[in-house]
Amino acid sequence: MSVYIFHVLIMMGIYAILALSLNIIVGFAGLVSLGHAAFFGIGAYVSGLLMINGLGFPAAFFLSGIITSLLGLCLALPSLRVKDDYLAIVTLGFGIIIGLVFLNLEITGGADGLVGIPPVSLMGKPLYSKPGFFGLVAGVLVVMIVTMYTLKQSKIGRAWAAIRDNDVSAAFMGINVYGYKTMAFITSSFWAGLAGSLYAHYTAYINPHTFNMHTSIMVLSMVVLGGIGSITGSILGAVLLILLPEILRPLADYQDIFYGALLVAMMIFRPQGIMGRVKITEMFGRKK
Amino acid sequence: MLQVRNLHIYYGQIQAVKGASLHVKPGEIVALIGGNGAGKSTILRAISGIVKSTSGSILLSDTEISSLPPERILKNGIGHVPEGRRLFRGLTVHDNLMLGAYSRNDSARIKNDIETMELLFPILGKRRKQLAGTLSGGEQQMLAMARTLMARPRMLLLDEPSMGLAPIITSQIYEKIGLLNKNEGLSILLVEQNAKLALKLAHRGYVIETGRVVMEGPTSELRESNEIQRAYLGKGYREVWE
Repeated sequence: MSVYIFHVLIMMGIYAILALSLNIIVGFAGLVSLGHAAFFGIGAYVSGLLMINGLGFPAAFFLSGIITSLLGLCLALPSLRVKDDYLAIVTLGFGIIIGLVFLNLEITGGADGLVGIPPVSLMGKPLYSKPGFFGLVAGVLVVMIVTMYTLKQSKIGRAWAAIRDNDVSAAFMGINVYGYKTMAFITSSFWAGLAGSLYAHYTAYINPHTFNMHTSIMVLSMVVLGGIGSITGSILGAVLLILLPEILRPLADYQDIFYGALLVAMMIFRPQGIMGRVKITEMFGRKK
Repeated sequence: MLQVRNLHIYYGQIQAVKGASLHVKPGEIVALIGGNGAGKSTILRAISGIVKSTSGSILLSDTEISSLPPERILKNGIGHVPEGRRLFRGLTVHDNLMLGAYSRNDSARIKNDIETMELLFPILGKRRKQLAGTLSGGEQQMLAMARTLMARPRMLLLDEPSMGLAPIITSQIYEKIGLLNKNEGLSILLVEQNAKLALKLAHRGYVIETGRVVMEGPTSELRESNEIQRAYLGKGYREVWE
């Protein structure tokens, strides 16, 4: 039983990192991305392949983030010349292309996927225990949350807020709009790559099916459900959307209907997301 | 201070500016007047780097700036108050001012400058925590100007500060523009549809028609010109606003 609970907790943690990373693009910089699963997948495959080929865990982990962020840069450079609906379509296309690449490359194992990914090893010892792995995921998540809060308060965060509110005015204020949008994609894909790496070493087996459009939409739902731009919201969104299928499991074949209906109801009755504009620090802080 | 020479600007296939030349001396207010679509705003946008010119040169204190990105031009001292204000409507008045100072790194003096702005435009101090989108038109124009001034420019490009404002508010805004010029020695390049107002405040003026400068001179001369009286001032119209 506790193994199952830790499995769910680990998935929540990984998806929370993924949702937070997407929140940098969607919530902080006010852009759209419908291909976020591609970055998740790139991180997973890169990390898996590096470790299969003999690299140690910490190195494979960081390299997966760095290589994914380079691909984020490759996506950002051409696609950030368009915005809004057009950017949505470009990122959607990117997601589909990367999915097809996973499916057709020899090195990724094609449709069979990548088998035999070594487990995480820290200080020479493989980490098999689920609570241990959860500790690792939670650690990465905490570092990420701190990074996100720091980013939000920083000069970069203010530039993103300006671009989100009005990108033309931001240019008038001397903000390099294109540069900061690109930076949002790079930062976001870096963390998505790390989430992918954790996922790959946790499941020990990955296939292209995990990184398709369905995942992209699900991660976006986590961000929107939690409240766009809210750090706490993205985490809550991930917790909820991972937890729901588990709770709804007794409904068997009807599970997806309830899942969908809940999402629709949520958007009707609380369109701003769970957290909305409220910050958790304000909720527990002083009250007037 | 600023010299624009033989400027050509295209929007795709359409030529918006066809060889315009003009200059602004230090401490001068210069007005660009002309009808809709004459290319006035486009010239300002080219100066601040938001729009790239096809050919021609833009010199700021003898430095070519036409190939620089907007953030560099702002750092060189040209601030642009865009047409229609373009505030960060979802952010507070204070945040808007802070973003105006984005190009600066001296946070101690930025705080000081915000106080200066709140003295210059007292309404901004009262509305500090309010979202910019909830301000009235005149307050928004003041915020737009204060926001650009937060970058400490040597020269201000003002695009239609009177747009959509009641005459009494417009005259308040113009009073502030005059003060900024007189007290701070700020050079100002002003684009205005309201030719009467602009020609009253500015020292010199240019008349722009279909992307070309068709007339230029001291505003005292322009006001007397028959052509301008006919086309832009409404000849024989009694100036009741004075």
